[in-house]
Amino acid sequence: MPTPVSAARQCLTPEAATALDGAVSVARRRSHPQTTSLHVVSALLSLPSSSLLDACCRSRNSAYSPRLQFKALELCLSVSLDRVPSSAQLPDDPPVSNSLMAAIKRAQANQRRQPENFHLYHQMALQCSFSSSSPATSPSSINNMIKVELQHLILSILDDPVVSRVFGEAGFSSTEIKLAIARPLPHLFRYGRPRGGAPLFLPDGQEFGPGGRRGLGFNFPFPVFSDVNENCRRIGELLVRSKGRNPLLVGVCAIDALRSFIESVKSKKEGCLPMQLSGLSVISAEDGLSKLVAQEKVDEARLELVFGEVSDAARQCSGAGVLVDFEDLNCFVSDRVNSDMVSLMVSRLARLLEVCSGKVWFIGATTSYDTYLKFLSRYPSAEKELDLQILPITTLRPSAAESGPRSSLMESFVPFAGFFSSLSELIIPVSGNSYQSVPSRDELNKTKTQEAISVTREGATASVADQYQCSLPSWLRMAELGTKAVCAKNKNDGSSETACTLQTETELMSAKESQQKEKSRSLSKTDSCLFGIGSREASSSMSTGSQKAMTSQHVTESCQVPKSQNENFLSKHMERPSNVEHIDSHVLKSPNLSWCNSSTDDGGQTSPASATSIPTTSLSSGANCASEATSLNAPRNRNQLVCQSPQGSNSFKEIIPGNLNLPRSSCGLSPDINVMNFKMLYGDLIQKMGRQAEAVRSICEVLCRARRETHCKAALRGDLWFTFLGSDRIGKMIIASALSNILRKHLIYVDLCPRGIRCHDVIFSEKMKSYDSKYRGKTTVDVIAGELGKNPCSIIFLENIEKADEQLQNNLSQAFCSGKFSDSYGREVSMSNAVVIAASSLVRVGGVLSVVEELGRHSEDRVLGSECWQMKILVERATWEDSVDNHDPIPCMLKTLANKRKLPGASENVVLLETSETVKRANMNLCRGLDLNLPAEGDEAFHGDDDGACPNDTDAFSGNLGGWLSEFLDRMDGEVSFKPQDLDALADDIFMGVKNSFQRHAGPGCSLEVDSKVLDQLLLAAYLSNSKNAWEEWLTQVLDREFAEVRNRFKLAQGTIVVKLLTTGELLSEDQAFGGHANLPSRIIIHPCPSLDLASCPTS
Amino acid sequence: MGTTSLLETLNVRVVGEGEKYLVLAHGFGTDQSAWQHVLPFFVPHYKIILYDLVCAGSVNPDYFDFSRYSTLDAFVDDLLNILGSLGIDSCAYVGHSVSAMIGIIASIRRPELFTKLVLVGASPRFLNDKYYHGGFEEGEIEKVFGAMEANYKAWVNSFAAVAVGADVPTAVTEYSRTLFNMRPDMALFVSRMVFNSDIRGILGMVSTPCCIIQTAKDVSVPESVAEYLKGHLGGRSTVEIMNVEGHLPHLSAPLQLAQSLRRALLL
Repeated sequence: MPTPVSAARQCLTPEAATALDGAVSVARRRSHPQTTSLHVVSALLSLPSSSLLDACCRSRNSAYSPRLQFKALELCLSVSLDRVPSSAQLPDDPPVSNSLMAAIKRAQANQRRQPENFHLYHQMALQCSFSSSSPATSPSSINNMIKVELQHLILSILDDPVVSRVFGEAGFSSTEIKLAIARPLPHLFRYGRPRGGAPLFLPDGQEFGPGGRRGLGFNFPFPVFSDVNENCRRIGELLVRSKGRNPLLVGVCAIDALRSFIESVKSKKEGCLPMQLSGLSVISAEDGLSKLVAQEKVDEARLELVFGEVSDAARQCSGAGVLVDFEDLNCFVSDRVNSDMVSLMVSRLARLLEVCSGKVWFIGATTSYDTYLKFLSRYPSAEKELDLQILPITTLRPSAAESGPRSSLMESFVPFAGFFSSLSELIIPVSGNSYQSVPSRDELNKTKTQEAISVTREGATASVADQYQCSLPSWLRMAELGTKAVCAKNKNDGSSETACTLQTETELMSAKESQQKEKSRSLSKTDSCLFGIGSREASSSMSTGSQKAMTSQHVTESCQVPKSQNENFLSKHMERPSNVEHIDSHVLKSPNLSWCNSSTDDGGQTSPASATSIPTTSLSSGANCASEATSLNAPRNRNQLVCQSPQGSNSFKEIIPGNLNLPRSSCGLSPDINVMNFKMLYGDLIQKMGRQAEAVRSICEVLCRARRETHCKAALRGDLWFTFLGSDRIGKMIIASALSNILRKHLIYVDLCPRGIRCHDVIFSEKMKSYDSKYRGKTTVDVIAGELGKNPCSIIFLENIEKADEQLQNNLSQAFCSGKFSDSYGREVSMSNAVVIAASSLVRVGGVLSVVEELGRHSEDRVLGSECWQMKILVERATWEDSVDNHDPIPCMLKTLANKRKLPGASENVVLLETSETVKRANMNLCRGLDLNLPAEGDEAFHGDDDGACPNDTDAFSGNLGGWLSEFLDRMDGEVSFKPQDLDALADDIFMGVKNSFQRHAGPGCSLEVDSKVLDQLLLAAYLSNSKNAWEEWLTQVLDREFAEVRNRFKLAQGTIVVKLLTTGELLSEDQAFGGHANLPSRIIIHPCPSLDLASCPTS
Repeated sequence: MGTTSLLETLNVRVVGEGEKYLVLAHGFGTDQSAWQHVLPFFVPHYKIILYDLVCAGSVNPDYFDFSRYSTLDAFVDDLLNILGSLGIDSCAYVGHSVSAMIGIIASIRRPELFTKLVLVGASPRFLNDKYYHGGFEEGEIEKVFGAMEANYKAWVNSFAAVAVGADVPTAVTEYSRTLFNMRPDMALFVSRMVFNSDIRGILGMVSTPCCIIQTAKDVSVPESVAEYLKGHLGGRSTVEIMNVEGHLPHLSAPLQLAQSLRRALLL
C-alpha cells in the first residue's frame, strides 16, 4: 500500500522533506500514480546545489566529459521515468511508493545505528520510556522519532536497484556516488571524522531490527572508511571472540597477511580492529623466542624474563591488551629447536593466558598446514592450551588497493551481518569438529550400554559386554547384542546354560584379543548374530544343534570344549576320565565337532573312520555330500554325517570359539589356521590320513606359514596354491577332503583326465554320473568356474594337472596372478577364498618333474581301478593238474592260473589268480607310464576295448611336462611330495592274512586260489582306510566265518579240494557292503561245484 | 536485504528430481548458463543448485562490494550463505576454476557440509613459484591485466579463444558473451584477486574427498597442478585427465565432462 505523502514527510528532516516535495511534484507533473525513488532522484538532480549532483561530479568517470555524462544521466533518467505507467486519474499528491518508503525506513535504521547519533537516540528512547511509561522502546518506535536527513535518504535511495541501474546506464557507479556523498571531501574524512565514544557497539542482535538482516551487507551501513583489507578484518574479528581467540594464520601468504595486520595495528589504522580492541599493543616475541628455543640448553630464566615482560606489558597497558606476535610458527618446529624448550614455552604461554585472561592474545602464522600439524604432533596440547584458532589465508594482498574505488561503505555492516554469520561458520570446522561428533558417540555409547544392560540382565555378564562394546562400532554392538539375546534366550530355555557361559567365555576371550583381530572377530560375531536373529530356525538350529552334539556324544565336556584352550576348565568338567585324553586331544586338534563325535561313537576304537571324511568331497554342495557320505559309511556313523552336512557344521560353528573368531565373509584359510596351531592341524590331518606323515607336515607348514606371513600374497588375497606330487592318489584325496573339513571349504574335485583312471569311481561314483550328465559339453574351465561361483569357499582339487588343456592352463596362470578365475566366456569368479590343489602323479627328481615308474606288482592305478565286486567261494575237487603239487608236505599251496607267477612269501597251496584282464591293465599302466611318445592311435589300439584309456593323454602329458607345467608348479605356495605307497607289502600282508584265515579251517590237501581281483579289492579297502582295520576286520568277521562255513559243509580236512575265492562279476550293492567299508561284501556266496556237492556235502 | 534477496541477487536456482544435492559453481568469466549443456545429465539424479558468482555479468554490479570481495573468503561466505538459506546440510560440489578454490575453502570451513568436491580446471595458485609451476609468470600476468584495462573487448575476444582452446566456435562465442557481460573493472578486480590468491598452504586442511578433473591441455592450469593438488589435498583425492582441450570443458566438451563428472560423483 502506498503511503500518503504526509505520513512520509513526518519521517524526514525539513531538508529531506523538501526533496520529497520536489519528487511528488515531478510525479504529479508526469501524472504518475505514485512517487518513487526515481522521482526523488530527478528532483534532487534538478536542484541547483544538491549533494547528489555534487557527488556525481566527484565520482564520475574521468574518461568522459562531465557535460556528456550528465546529459547521459538526464537521458537515462527521463527514459526510466517515461517507462513508469501514467494514470489518467490525478490524485492531488501521488502517494509515496512502497519502494521509496522502504528506502526511507532503511535510512532511518541506518541513521539510528550511526555512532554519532547513538547517544542521542538512546537518550531519546530512555526519555520516551520514562515519560510515557509505556514499553514503547522498541526500535520501530524509536525509528519513528528519527528524522531522516537528506544525506541518508540519498544513500538509501541509491540502493534501490531501479536507481542504480539508471546511474549505471549513464556510466556512474552508484557505489562510488554513495562513497562520494558519505565522504564530502576526502581530506576532511581522514582527519575530520569524529570518533565515536567508548563502547559504541552493542552486542550483536540489538542493532538489527526484528528482521535480523544477515547475509550480504548491502544494507546501508554507517561509514567506517579505511583501506583495511579483508584479512585484517577477519583477524580482528577472531580476536574479539571468547573462545579460539588466538589466531593462527595458515596459507602461503599468511605471514604477509600477519605482517600487514601487525603493521596496521601498530599504526592504529582505522577499522582494522573492532572497537573493543582499540589501544591494543603489539609485542613481537618472535626474535627473542626463536633464539631461546634454538638454544641447546633449557634456559628457564631467560624464558621467564621474556614472559615477565609480556605480563608486565599486559598489566600496564591502557588499551584492550597485548598481542604477542610469534610470526612464523616454523621457528618452533624446525629441527634445530630444542623441543623441551618449546614445550616449556607452550606451557608458560598457556599459564600467561590464564593469568592475564582477556588481556593477552597470541598471533602466529604458518605457510602450510603441514607445519601446523607438525607443531601439533610435537606439542599436542598446544592447540587447546593456547586456544588457537586456525584462519585460512587465501589471498596474498587484497586487491582493493590496486584497482577499483576504495569504497568501504559496505564494510562496516559486515561485522553485524556477514561477519557474524561467517564467524559461526569458522567456529564449526575446527573446534566444532570434535565436539560435534564426540557427544553423539557418547550418546550412542550410552544408549548401547543401556540396551546391553537390559538384554544382559537375563543372564549374560553385563560387565564383559560393556567393556567389549565400547571398542566396537555401533552396528557391531548391535549385532553383539543380538548374539547375546539369543544367548539369553537359551538360558531362559533352561536347558543350555552352558551355552550361555560359553558365550560369555568366548567374549572374555575375544575381549582379551588384540585390537587387530577385533575386527575379524566382531565380523564373525555379526555373522553369528545374523545367524541367530535373522532366522528363528537358524538360531534354534544353533542351540539345538549344539545340544544335539552334546547329547549324542554323551560327553558334556565336549560342549565346554569350545571354551577350550583353557585346559584347566576343560579337565574340570570331564566326566569320563578314561576318555579324557582321547577326547581332549581330538577336540583340541580339531574344531570339527562332528569328527570328534565319530571318534567317541566308535567307543574308543582307534579308527575314527577316515572314510567318513572322504565322502564330503564332491562336485556339488551340501545335501549331496551327506547322501554320498551315507552311501559310503556304515549306518552307525550316520549320525555324524548329518553333522557334516553344511547346516550342521554351521550350527557347530556358532559354538566353537575358534569359529566365533572367524570372519565368515572372508573365510579364507586364514582364520582357521590362526586359531589352530601347527600341532593341532597336523594331528588332525594325520589322524585322518594315517600315513604320509611327511607330506602332512609340509602341508601344515605351508598353511601356517601362509597365515603368518602377512606380506604373502595368500594373506592378502586368501587363496592358496598347492602342488601334490607323487603317486598316493588316494592319500591326496583324503588330505584334500580332510582340509575341506577343517577349513570348512567345499571340495571341487576335477580329474583332468576324465576318462582315464577310474579311481574316482570308487569314491565318487555317484557324483561322476551326475557330473557327466550335468557337465556334458562344458569345458573344464566352465565347470570349475561354475562350481566356484556357487561356492567361493572351495578347495579345487585338480587331479592330473599335467593333462590340463591350454585354456585351463591360461586361466589357472591368470588366476594365480590376479586372484580371479575366468570361465571360457571371460566372466570372472573370485578365487580369494579358494584353495587350489594341483595334483599330479609326477615326482620331482633333482628339481625336474619326471614320470615315476611303477615297478611293483600292484600299481596304484590297478588297485584304484578295482571294482566293488560281490565275492564268491568256489569249492572244487582238485584236478589232476592241481594235485601235482599236492605231494608237497606243506598244507597250502600257492598257484597262479593265469601267468603262474609266485607270490613271494605266500604259502604253496594258496593261489592268486590273475585274470587276463587285470594283467592287461597292469601292462597298460606300465606302458603309459613308460612310453610317452606312443601315438594316440597306437595307444588306443593297444588298449583295445579297455575304456580306461585316454586317447591322447600321453600327448598332452608329454607336452605339458615342459613349459607351462613346471613354470606353473614352481610358483605354487607349497609343494607337497607324497611318497609312493608300498602296495606290494600291503598286498603281501593281506594275502598272508587270507592264507592264515584259510589255514585255520582247511586241512592239508586243501588249496586256496585267490582271484587277484579280490586281492585288489582288499587292497583298495586297506588303501582307502587310514589303518589296517578295514581289511583285518573283514578277514576276521567275514572271511573267517565263510571259511568256517565251507569247512563245515565240505569237510575241507579231506583234502583234494580246491577253494577258489573269486569275484562274481556283480557289483556290490549298498546293503551288501560290509560295515564301514563300502567296497567289501558283508557275506560271500559259496558255490559248491556240482560234483563235489553230490559227493561230499553231507549237509546240503 | 535478507537471505531471500541473497538468493535473488545471485540468481540461485534449484532444479532436478534427485535426492541428493549437487552444487554447480561456475568459474571466472562465465555464469550459471555455462552448465546448461551439462545440466540435463544430472537433472534426473540430483537436486542441482545453480548460482552466479557475485562478479558474474548476470548479477547486478551494485552488489559487488570491492572491499568485501577482495579475498576469496567473501565468495565462500556467499556460497555458505546460499546453502544455509536453502537449508542444505549435505551436498556434492562441482566447482570450475575459481569456484574450485572457493569450494576448497568452503569445505575447510564446513567439512560436514560437503560430501564430495569435484574440482574442474582447479589450481591452488596460478603464478609460478620457486618450487611450483602454476603456469603464469608475474610479469606475464601484469601484461594481461594491462590488456584488460586498455581494451576489455579486444582482450575478451582473444582470451576467450585461447581459454576455450578447443576448436568449438560456439563455446568461444558463449564464453566471450559471458566474459564481456562482466563489468571490466570488476573483471580486472576479480582476476587480480584470483591471481593474488594462494591456497596451497591450506590444502591439507581439506578432509572432503576430492576429484580433480582436468583437460589434457589447459592454458590456465598445467598438468602438474592436478598432481600437486592430489598430493597436497588432505582428503582422499583422485585425478581424472579428460581427453579434450581447453579450460572450459563444460562449454567445449559437455558430454565428456558430464561423463567424467558422473564418474567422479559416484566414486
